[in-house]
Amino acid sequence: MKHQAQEAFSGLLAGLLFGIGLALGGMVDPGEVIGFLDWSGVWNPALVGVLGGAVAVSLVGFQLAPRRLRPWFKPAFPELPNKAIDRPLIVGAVLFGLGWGLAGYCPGPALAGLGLGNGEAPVFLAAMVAGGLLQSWWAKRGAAASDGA
Amino acid sequence: MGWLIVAGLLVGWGTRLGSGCTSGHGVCGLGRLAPRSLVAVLAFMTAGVFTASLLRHWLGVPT
Repeated sequence: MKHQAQEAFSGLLAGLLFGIGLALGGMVDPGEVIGFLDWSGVWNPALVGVLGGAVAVSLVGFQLAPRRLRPWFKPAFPELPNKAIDRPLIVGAVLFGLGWGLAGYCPGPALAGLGLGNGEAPVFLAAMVAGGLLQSWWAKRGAAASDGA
Repeated sequence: MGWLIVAGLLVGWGTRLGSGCTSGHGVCGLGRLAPRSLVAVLAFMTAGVFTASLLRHWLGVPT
């Protein structure tokens, strides 16, 4: 029980930090995201620093943590998967990019946008959840069909 | 509104199928130097730039 509360607390802290970062960095503004992805006119490079900075920080964390640090509330860091590069990964990422470039929202900033009272965020999030559910339904349907064959 | 829903469906489907998003593959995956994530980031950046630079204009998506 104590551990669950501690894990919930660390999740809360991490989420808070993440949301503040997304808001400060401008990731929650779809206009900013579209300006970053739209290379047809005047390119807005502001998000290069946000994304690059975030990767630089997580790089230090991921390299340092397993060697030098211990988790606060767990005995060890989880083993991270290293799967092969496959077709679903690439097809999924391309579909994700199409949606991202269309509206300027990705999952994290859309969630953070809820907290900022952005009226578009709930609509996007509802469609996003539906998209995820449809994908898992489609995958199960495919698996069932190949079992039957 | 319609485009927002199409975009949400694509992002939801794509995140699930591709096992990650800008945070998952971008920030965390690149941070832990995962080859899968580098491929995913290249794929969604290319698709994102293509969509925002060309497809949006062709389709006349309002900004």
